Amino acid sequence: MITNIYKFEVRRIFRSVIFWTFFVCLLIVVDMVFYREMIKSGMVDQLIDFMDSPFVGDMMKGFGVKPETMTDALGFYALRNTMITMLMGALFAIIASSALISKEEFEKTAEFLYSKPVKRVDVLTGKLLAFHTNLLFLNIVSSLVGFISLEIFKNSVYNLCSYFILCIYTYFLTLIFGAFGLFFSLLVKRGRVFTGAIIGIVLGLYFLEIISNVTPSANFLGYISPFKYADKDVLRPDYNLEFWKSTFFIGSTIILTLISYRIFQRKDIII
Amino acid sequence: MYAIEIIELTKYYGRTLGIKNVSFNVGKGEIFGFIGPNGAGKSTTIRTLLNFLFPTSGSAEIFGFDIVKKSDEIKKKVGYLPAESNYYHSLTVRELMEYSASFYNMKEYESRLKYLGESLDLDMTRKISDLSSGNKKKVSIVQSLLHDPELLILDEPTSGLDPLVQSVFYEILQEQNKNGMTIFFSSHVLSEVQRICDKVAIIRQGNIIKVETIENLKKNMLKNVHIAFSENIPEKIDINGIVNYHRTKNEVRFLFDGELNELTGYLSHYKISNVTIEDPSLDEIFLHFYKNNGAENDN
Repeated sequence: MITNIYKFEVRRIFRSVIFWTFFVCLLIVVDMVFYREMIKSGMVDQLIDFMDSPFVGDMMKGFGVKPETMTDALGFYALRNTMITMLMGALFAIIASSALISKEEFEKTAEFLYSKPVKRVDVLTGKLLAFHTNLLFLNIVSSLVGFISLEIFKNSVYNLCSYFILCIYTYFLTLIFGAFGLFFSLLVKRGRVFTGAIIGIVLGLYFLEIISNVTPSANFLGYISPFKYADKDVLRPDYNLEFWKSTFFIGSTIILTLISYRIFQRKDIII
Repeated sequence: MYAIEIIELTKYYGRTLGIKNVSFNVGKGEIFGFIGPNGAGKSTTIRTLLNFLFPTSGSAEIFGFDIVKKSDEIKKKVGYLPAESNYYHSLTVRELMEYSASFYNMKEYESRLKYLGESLDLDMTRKISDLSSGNKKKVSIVQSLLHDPELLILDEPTSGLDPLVQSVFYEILQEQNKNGMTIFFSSHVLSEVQRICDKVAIIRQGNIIKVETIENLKKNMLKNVHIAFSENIPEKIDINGIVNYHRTKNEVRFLFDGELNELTGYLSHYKISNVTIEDPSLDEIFLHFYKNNGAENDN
């Protein structure tokens, strides 16, 4: 019974995934073209001089910009990746997952679905599997496009392993936002579309991390944001997939998902 | 074992009452009407039976299965036609039917789909988003009947259907009922309940007011009396049981719940050109119950 819901949901979300994937990949490619032009034209050297000024330097630090990130292909990619794949991926994940259950109620198709002989746990499992298939598709395709872009536009050797670790952190980040989107949507009594609110949450958490990086006294605030745990400092010699950060992402995703199952099995479907 | 057995079923939405202590049974093979105005609790009762909503207290069983614990078992035997027809807009009618059939592991449903589609003149190739509300209702009817359920739950089934399609729909229902299907028919349009149901439960403000056969309801109720006099029209008919007395030039109309023999005896003293004594419509019964119950509640 999960299979038919899974197939139906994959097809239902697929157009949206294609759009998001295309958009993310396009931005990655455009950025890497921009990178090559910056290197060729010598614009990078001017930027590095500009970053020497105290105020600008601090600001740039907040965005994770160091002189070497501007010259190294992987460093530049990671800098832009934060903006594109992580932020866009997080937005896709939270929007898509929050609509899994609530959209059925909002569009009143819930009366059709829940009158069928299927357990709620199977409904949610089928929908979640479809969501994760699409999320994986977005992450794999954008990672491959990123890899191909790096290979085409690199100006020196880069650490491929670091690149894939960055991709895994990106995937982990989308997982946690996906789990949070579902959890958040189930807390709302009557199903509704709340895209504005959830976009606000993602952007808020993103900027919270930036503020915490710029302001040492507000450093603790960054730990509220999952973006903080997605390590983007790819040029660091000991850059790796840290156990406790991975545990944070996977553990939080599992816990939020299990709580969502619990809530959904006891929730009134109000149409 | 009843098709539906409801015992003291109560549902509150927070502090707002949905239904309170609703109890009644629906026998297998019955066509059972469930009437009440909008907001009376009809849809809440149905949605609780289908476990969209969890009961605050009380219990109910469908074919002996508990509505909360065995909801998925129940739904194998139940077809549901919701009041509003909302489906996935991007699908065609056929795709929706295929999706619906996939929940019942149906391998052979083409002949039944063809029969239902042709009976209701429903174009299977059209997209749901392109359908009128009447055609969406037809989609609802077909998807609720496709798996040949043992119990059909209908919530305001004829809204949006033109009279011709309504007539076909009733024929389908009566045919399915003959084949053993139990039908639970919720509506605020009383004439359609009167037309098809054997028994009826009347609900008001979340409470069941009466559960009665249609026949008994009519029997125990006021009669509509219309008398046309040839001459000597009485100023007033002085016997017990007359209400709403209206007198025009040579006619009188009133509702009567007294002794018919006393009335005919009284009228034999007058020259009459025409007299009709009719059963009340269900609407009049409905209003009567509402007024009485409302008055009792007010007191």
